[in-house]
Amino acid sequence: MLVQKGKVLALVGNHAVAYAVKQAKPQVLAVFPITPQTTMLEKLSEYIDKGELRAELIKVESEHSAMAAIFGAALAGPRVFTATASQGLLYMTEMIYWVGGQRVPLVAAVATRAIASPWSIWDDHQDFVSKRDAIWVQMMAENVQDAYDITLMAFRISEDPRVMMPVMMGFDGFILTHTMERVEVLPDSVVDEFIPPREFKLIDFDNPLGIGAVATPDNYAKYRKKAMEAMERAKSVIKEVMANFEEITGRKQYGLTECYMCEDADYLLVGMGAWVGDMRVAVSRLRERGKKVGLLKIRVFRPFPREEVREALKGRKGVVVFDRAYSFGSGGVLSLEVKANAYGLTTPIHTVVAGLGGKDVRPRDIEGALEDLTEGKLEEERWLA
Amino acid sequence: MIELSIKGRGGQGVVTAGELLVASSISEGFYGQSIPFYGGERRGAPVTSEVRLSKEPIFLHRRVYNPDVVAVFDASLFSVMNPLEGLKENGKVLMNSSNPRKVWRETYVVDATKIAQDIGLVIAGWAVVNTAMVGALANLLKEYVDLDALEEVVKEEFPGKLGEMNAEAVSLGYRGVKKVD
Repeated sequence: MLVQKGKVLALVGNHAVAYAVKQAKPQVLAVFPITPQTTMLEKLSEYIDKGELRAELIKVESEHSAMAAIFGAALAGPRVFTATASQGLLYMTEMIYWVGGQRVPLVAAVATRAIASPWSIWDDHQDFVSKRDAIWVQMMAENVQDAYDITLMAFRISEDPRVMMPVMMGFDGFILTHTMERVEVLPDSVVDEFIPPREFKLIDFDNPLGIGAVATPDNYAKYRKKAMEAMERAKSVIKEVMANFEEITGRKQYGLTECYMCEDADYLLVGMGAWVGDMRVAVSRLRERGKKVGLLKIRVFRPFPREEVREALKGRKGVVVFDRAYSFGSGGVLSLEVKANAYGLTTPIHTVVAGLGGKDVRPRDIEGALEDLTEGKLEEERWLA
Repeated sequence: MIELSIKGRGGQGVVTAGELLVASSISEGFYGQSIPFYGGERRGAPVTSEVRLSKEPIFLHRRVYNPDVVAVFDASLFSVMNPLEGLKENGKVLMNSSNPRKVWRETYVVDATKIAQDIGLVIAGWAVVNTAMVGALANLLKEYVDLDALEEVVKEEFPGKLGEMNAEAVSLGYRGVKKVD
């Protein structure tokens, strides 16, 4: 297929995601406001008001109901969407697991935000990573363009018959949701072709069935095993969808991970989300000073790209993972994932916990930690707090 | 790449100002980022918006610490904070003021409040100074912002008569900016 050049727009992250959702043509949306996601759902309701999106908009009384509403709707056939953050995502948790367990294709955006207490409206990843075991595909954006791109791909991945799973599109609260950047949007007709009409329909009056029934121990275990297999299959489907998207847009998609300046790197930096951009700057600066450093970006958090990560770690003298979420008494959440997949390798893996509750992180902070790593001066775990 | 810091008070359109500059620059085929800082904002409280403009893709997402340009929407901010904190030695300051006063080696001034009042851009007793300030900034950022493109963006952002009024404020701000010696 020829590369389809779209329009170039100036959009804040929330509006870029709303634009992608509009193009995906969902028929049911559930909305409940929470900072920093609110302006996304406001934009979607504006699209409906103007007649640019034909969808049923359900104003619910809580996030729990938001997920319950689109869960029910999705079972009957329509494409659905909602968004939330932080406390909202926590309140939604029970339904998040129901949806994942039921393997309902749907998409939700999470504008990542710290969790109370203390109260914070600013960014970190504690909310997003807390849903790692809910049988959802979880992807995270680096910039506003990426948030637009991932949202479109999320619908395709979610509804692929080999996957049939909800997809969570995470993007950093404020840092991406409220920042205006240059975004290239695809023509509607190209999106129509990229995301074909939804075929999933569980509720069929001619063939009635029960949903949410109790499973005996034997069946439950089989069900979970099937979910595990589907999650593994999702890896190749995600790569396939990304390759297709790259072909259409001409924008490099890389896959589950991206290794930047990795080839001859002795030391590796690992990160996920918006600060990966700042990490690129830090790595480039160190390269200019002759330091052999590289960057591994985690773009897909679930299914965790075990094979890619393990391969990227091999032969490095040292690794530092930057973490925006922490598991108390254990370590940085992303670090734990990386370490689990380094089993048997001798590469030392360090952690820098930073950017919690919106605390800004600068390339020079990243550079400092990375330089200390190359000089053997980095602690096993460092907090920038 | 150039970095700006826009300082004003809640209700003055500080965030919109940053977005108008970025949208204008992007419409010219460049790159830009408008980064609002949200805290417990309310009308009258100090508000900051930061902007990056570039001819190359921008990777950074950190905040702006050492701006090349600072725009101060309200001179009374000096009594509650230092709006020029971190400004580069060779940076520029643009003040909204009727009283030209040199606050930095390179200081510019525009009477955006008067421009807004003359045009009738007043909401709930507040002069809406952002578009006149954006016009003045365009004059200082010619490499990244084109006046015609900016006026187009403004007319798109504010529909109808309001767009005409704001485009006029942009034009008057652009022409009304003066260097303070």
